[in-house]
Parts: sequence; structure tokens; C-alpha cells
Amino acid sequence: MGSLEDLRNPGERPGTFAMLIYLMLGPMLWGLHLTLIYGANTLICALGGGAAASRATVITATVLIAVPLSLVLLIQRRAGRLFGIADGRAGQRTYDAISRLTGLLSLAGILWAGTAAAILSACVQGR
Amino acid sequence: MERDLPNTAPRPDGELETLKRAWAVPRGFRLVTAVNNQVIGILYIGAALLFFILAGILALIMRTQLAVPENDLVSQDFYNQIFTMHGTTMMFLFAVPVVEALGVMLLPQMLAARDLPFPRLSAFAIWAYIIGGLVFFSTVFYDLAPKGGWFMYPPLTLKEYSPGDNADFWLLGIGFIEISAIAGAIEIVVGTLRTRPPGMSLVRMPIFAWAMLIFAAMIMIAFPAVILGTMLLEIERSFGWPFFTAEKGGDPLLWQHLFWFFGHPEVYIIFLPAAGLVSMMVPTMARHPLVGYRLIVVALIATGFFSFGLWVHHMFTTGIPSLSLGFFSAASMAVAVPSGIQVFSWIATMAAGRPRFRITTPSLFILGFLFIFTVGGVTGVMVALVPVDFQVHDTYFVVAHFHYVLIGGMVFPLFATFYYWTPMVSRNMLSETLGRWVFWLMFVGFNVSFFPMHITGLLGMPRRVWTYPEGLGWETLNMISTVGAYVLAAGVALFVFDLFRRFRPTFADSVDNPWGAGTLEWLPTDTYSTRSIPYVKSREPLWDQPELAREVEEGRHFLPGAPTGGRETIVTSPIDARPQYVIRMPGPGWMPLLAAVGMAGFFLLLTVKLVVPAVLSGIVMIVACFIWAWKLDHGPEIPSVEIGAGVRLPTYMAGPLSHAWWAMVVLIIVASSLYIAYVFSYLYLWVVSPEVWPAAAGVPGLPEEAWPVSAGVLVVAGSALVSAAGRLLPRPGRGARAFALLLGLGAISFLAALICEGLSHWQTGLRPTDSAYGAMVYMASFLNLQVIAACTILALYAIARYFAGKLDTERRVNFDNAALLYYYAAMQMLLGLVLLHGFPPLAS
Repeated sequence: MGSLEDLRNPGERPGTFAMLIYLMLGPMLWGLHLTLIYGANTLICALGGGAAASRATVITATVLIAVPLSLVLLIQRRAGRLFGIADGRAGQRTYDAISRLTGLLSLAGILWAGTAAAILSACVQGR
Repeated sequence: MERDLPNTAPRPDGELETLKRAWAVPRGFRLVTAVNNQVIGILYIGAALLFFILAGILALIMRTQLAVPENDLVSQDFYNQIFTMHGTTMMFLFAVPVVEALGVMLLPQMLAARDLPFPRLSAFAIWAYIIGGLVFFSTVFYDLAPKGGWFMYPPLTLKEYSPGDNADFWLLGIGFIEISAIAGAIEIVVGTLRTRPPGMSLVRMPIFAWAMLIFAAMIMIAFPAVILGTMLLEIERSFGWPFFTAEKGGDPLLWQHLFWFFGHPEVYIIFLPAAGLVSMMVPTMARHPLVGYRLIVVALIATGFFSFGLWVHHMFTTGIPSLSLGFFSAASMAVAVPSGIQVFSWIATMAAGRPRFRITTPSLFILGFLFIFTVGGVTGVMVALVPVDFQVHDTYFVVAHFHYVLIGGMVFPLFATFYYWTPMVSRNMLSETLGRWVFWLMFVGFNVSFFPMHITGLLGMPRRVWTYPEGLGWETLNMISTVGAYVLAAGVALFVFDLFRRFRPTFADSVDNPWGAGTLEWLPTDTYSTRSIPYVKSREPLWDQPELAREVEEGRHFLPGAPTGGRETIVTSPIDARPQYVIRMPGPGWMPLLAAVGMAGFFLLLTVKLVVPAVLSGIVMIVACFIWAWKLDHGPEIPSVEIGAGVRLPTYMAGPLSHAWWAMVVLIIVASSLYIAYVFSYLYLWVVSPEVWPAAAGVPGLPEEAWPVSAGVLVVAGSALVSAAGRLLPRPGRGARAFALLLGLGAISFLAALICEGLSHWQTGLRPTDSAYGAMVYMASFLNLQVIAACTILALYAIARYFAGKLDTERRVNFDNAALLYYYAAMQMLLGLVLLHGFPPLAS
């Protein structure tokens, strides 16, 4: 927003909801991933589904969430446009940067948690 | 050269007087009716500081008891009470409230708003907190204080092992203090997103505002989990519904899940605002904009999210499968990354300072914070490692770790804040000389007290022990810790002395930007905040627009007067902060205080089983809220006002643009978080004890399908009736009786659905005391009852407004809010029907 003249238009795009989703896309996917893998691991182990099933679920969930998130990171500006943040809009570079960096941190979190499946036994108690 | 400004000077005669009259603060005993954010903020901070000192005194008693082995200064039972009250008071009555208090006091100033959007809600929150907090704390004097530790684990806290009312005081007291916290969170979310000055887009928002926004969002998600937990535990203690009793299919670990889903984010709920404050002070002391503003925003968002993935690390030793432990161990380490980003950003800003980073009392506290918090962070990564946690769990190592995180991460920034922002509301600054003494006493005292606890923990000393035998190698370390605690206390006492000596609250004669800061809270202010609301073009407007303070004081920016004759501020759009309308705000009143007294009475009298007086208190609260709310909706009697720059804004707004709509959405998010926690609890107990679910031998079957279908139809019909009522709202000045009829029928339809659902299970022979399944089934009805009761009250209120001629197609906020909550209630009830009637056949 550059001048007093701009203030006379009370509307704005994108809407608040779209902007918040854009800024928090990565962390939301991270939350979804943690919920899925923890829920699945608990359920499969409780129902006696076996370690292999649990491991496969964790790996599948990790791939299914990490791949689209990586794609968004690769085409960040295009993703921004999809959420209604036009090129050259005031603050556009900052919004893109925040979305990219939260996405990057989340991707690391997803991969970090997901690799546990490759290292640890699924249903054995640690102690 | 004169810049293009929204308004011209000199301003018309009488404009300033009208503004002053509108925002006048009541005097004498009527001061308790004040709602101005500065009054509320100071009172709030003062109360929180009092609880900090009281909890600190309890800590000194504990340290004295532990100074030597086999000490009997206090009894074992009293020791249990004081360590429980110390933790509970510090977490619930000091840390969260003081942060909210700072939000109430600082946010409107930083955003140059005249006040937060719901000033009476702030007043209600503070009075509920003060009354409830004082009564709760006083239990320590009557042998009624809880003694199950600040996290109150069952089965220890079940009636069988904790008879008496002690645990009930914790459960009901804390439950209602959390309602106060949620009220504050609503205020902060709506205030931060909707009352920023024109031009202050999200990317120009002060970091403290970002931190408070995330803080409030975290409260909305985290607090409902522990509210549900406290409800379940209190209901089990009072009525025997076995949520946590293993013999009937319950599980004590459910409490741990619910508690820590709140409890771990709580640490960041406390830390993030403190980090936000540091991000405001460091640039001022460095005279350099914050290095890595974007990175700090990223770190705040990431920390807010990651903190919800850590709760299981408090439960590493409870027998959870290794792989799950791996997920939470990874998340516990991942959260260190955004915290590290902030630390490096602050260090980089200090290094960039020109001529150099100024060493003042606030700076010393910030440097102390960096050192202590980093040590706490490193030991945090250690306990995030599962094998290390197995070794040090429940030892003094953990006590040392979380005090390094909490005192380092929150108390030191808070003291920096006191020294830094006192001049904003006081005629005097606090003493720099005494301030340095305070810092060194606290810094040395803290480290002398808590560092040895790492070693006592590694030597095997468990937490919460009343005393210990000689010869275990703990004696010297404990004595050192005790000496350190007294040195730390001396620092706090010196601060209190300085506060009494120097702090003189004022609205108009505060010290004029003594640190040369760049943000808006240092503009000249009075009871009305700033004379005009500035047009903002950068993150540090006072640095980038050197004439801004003068222009604002001359009334040359927005809304320089009080065009409606009352209290008002500008509501702007959430992203770009474009002016949208002028909100008319309420002034002083007794009702928030009366409502708080009523609510406190309701909860506390219920605790001691005085049901009739409790109900009467509840009625007082509801009536006070009705009277309070009646005058809030002014309607569009003054259709629009000019605020400057040719911008003319409406003074009334309904629908998704209105602040009331936003507040209701926030409340719905809180309610849905509570319900999601319930759904988790239901599924969790099924995983633990499928044998008590229907289809197992001896468990009553599900009701016939006609029951849930009828309940569902009633819910859908109720929603349709509410929606139809909205379409029949009369035009201004006209009547349309069908509106009241349809809304009333809608309310009846929802109540009928609620009764239908409860009856459906009752007629199968299922009782809530039978098993965890029965308890969870009736708990769903109880949660629905809460929401439907709120909806019914709102519907009755809307009908009353309609008959008073205060509800029509233009003046419709009251109806919109009721309808919004009804639609949410419908979704919650339908989800409940699907879960309770659809899941058991699927699971069997």
C-alpha cells in the first residue's frame, strides 16, 4: 500500500483465511503428518497389525505429504498466486519468504520424524 | 517540507475536550469500573506480580526445608501442598496472566489503537482472575490446597487417593482461570488483526504483535484440552464416571495426554511473547532494525506449531511404542531450530548495533536471558533424547532444565520489560543503578540455585521429595541451591523496593521515549491513547518519520477527535490494514466486575458443594452479562464519520467484517478444539479398552437407529429454522413476529435433539458410571448441553432485543452471533451422532 489514496478502498485480496493458509501451509502439513503417523502407529500396534504394516503406513504418509510440500517449495511464487497473492503486491516478497521458510522447516520436521520408521521397531516398547 | 497528512491543523475548538471526556478514567472507588487498557493492564500486571512473589515465598520455604537432610521445618503433607501451589501459581496465576496483561497494556499502544476491541471483556478477565486467584491461593492457609503436583496425575488425584476438597479446588479453580485466559485470547486475536493503524500491514506489524497473535492462537487450541481434562477428572471425582479408572475401562494416561497437550505448548505460550518483547527491546538498544524480521516471524509460527508435537516427550517412560517415541523425540529436537533462529537473530542485531549495543538494565536482563535460556535449551535437547530422558525423568535434572527454560526464557525478559516499558506509564523511570544490582543478584542467585540441581538430579535425587537422608552426596549441593534461592529472592525484593520508590502511574505525563525507540507505543499519549491514529509506512515509524510524534499530537493523522461523542477506534482490514469502519466501544461499568464475582462464586461454591448459592451466583453472572451486553450494540444511529484523508467510515458493521463476528469465530475455534479433544479421548479409551464398548458381552447395545436419525433430523430442522428466522428479520422500524417464532422453534428443536440423544442411551440401560464407554457417551451429551445452553441464552437475548426494537435487518449482530453458534452446535452434534452411533459397529 503506497499512498493515502489507497486507503479509500476498504476491500483487500487475498482474504485473511487464504493468507493464513498460505503462510502456514508447511506447518499444517507437518501437523497432519504427525497426526497420521502417530495415530496409525498407535492403532496398528494396539490392534496387533504388526510392525511391517505400521512401518509401511509411516513411510507412505511421509512420502505422500513430503512430495507435494517439496513441489510447493519449488514453485513458491506460483503457489502464492494460487492463494491470491498477486505479483508485485505490497509485501508479496515477505509473504513468499515466510511461506517458503516455514515450509522448509516443516519439510525437515516431516522427514526427520519419518526416518524414525527406518530405524526403530514399530511396536516394541522402548523400555 | 510538510507531508501529505490525513488531517489539517489546527484542529477545531472543543475536539480535544470531547476526546478527553469520552475517555475519562473514573476516580476514587469507581476506579474498579474502569476499562481503559492502561488501567486494566497495570492492575493485571500488579496482580500477576503479587502471585509471582507469593509463589516465590513458597519456593523459599521448600528450599529451606531441603537445605539440610532430614529436616522437619514443614510437615510432609504441607510440603506436598506448597510444591503443588508453587507450580500451579507460577504457571496459571503468574506466567500466562502476566503475558496477557502485557498484551492488554502494550498492544493498543504499539498499534496506536485507542483500546482493544472488547474493553469490558478485558475487565471481566482481570477481575475473574484476581478474585479466583486470590481465593484459590488462600487455600494454602486452610489446609485445603491441592497436593497432587501441578499436573495432578490420576489415579493419585482420584477421590479414593485424594479425599477432601483439595483437588477440587485445583480442578474448578484452574478451569475457571482458564476461561479468563481464553477471554483474553479472544481480545488479543481480534485486537491484533483488526485494530492496527492504517498502513500497518502484517509485514509491518511489530514482532510483539506477531508473538501475541500466535500466543493467543495457541491458547485457543491448547487450553481446551486441559479444560476437558479437568472436567473429566472433576466429574469422575464427584459422580464416579470412570474416565481414569482402569477396572472400568478408563485410563490414567488419558489425563497425561490431555494435560500435556496443553502443558507443553504452555511453555511456548509463555516463551513466545517473552521472545517478542526481546525482539522489540534489542533493536532499540542496538539502534538498528531487527536483523531477520522475516526469520523471526517464521520462527514464531514454526515454534507455535511444533510445540503441539511435543507433548508425548513428557510421557517417554509410560510404555509407549518406540516408534511413536521416535516421532516425538524428532519433534522435540526440531523445535530447537526455530528457537535457535531467534537467538542468532538477536545476537546479529546486537552485533549490528551502531555505535554499539547499549548496556542498560534491560540489556543486562536480555543478555542474562540469552545465556540462561540457551543452557535450558541445550538440556532440553538432552531430555528430548529418549535414553537420556529414561535416566533423568522425575529427577532434579528436569527441575533444573525447566527452571532454566522458564525463568531464563520468561522471567528475565519480563524484568527487562519492566525496566524498559515502565517509563511508558510512569512519571519516573526505574533506577538504573538499583536495576543493575537487581540483575546481578537475580542472575547470580538463579545460577547458584539451579545449576547444582543438574548434578543432584544426575546423582539420583527425585523431584518432590519432602526430605532426604544423609550420606547420598546431596547435602552440599542442596545447601548451595538454597543459598542461591535467597540471593535470587533478594534481587526480586530490591526490584519491589525500587518499584514502590519510583513507579508513579500516569496517562499523560510519562517519560518521553527515553530509549529512543522506533515503535508507536512511545508516541505521546493520554487516557485516549494517541491524539490521532498514525498512518504507518514502515516497521519503525518513529525512526523513519521523525516528525510523526508532533503530527500525531497535533491531530493531523486519523480520527483526531471523538466524532460519535463516545469511545471509538478504527477497525482495519486484517492483512493490509485498510480502514473499514469505526468501532464504538463501551466505557466504564460495574457489570464486568459483577459478572466476574458471579462466575468466581459459581465455581468456588460448587467446589465446596454449596449447590444453591453456586446456582444463584451463576444467575448473577448471566444477568450481569445481559445488562453489560444490552448497551453494546449501538446500531447505525450515526451512519458514518470522517476520519481524515477523505475517508468516511460507517460506525456500525454486521457480518464477517464485524469484530463481533470475529470474536464468535474465535470462540467457535475454542469450542471445536474442546470437542476434538473429546473425540480423541473417546477413540483413545476405545483403543485401551475395547472390551467395554458395545458388542462386548454384558455391555448394553446401541439404541435403535430411529433415535439418532430423529436427533439428526431435529438438529437439521433447528438449523433451518434459525436460518429462516434470519431471512425474516424485520426492516428497521417494522415488526415481523414470525422471526421470534421461528428462532424460538429453532431453539426448541435443538433442545429436543439434545434430550433425544441422551434418552436414546438411557433407555438401553447404559449408565455413565458403568464403564468408560458409558461415561464417554454421556460426556458427549454434556458437552452438547454446554453449547446448546449458550445458544439458547443467545437466542433468548436476540428475541428480547427484537421485542425491544433493537434487532432488524441492519442492526443484526446479536442474531448473527447466535446463528453462527447454532450452526457450529449443529456440526458438533451431528459429528457426535456419527461417532457414538457409527463407530461402535464399525469397530466391532
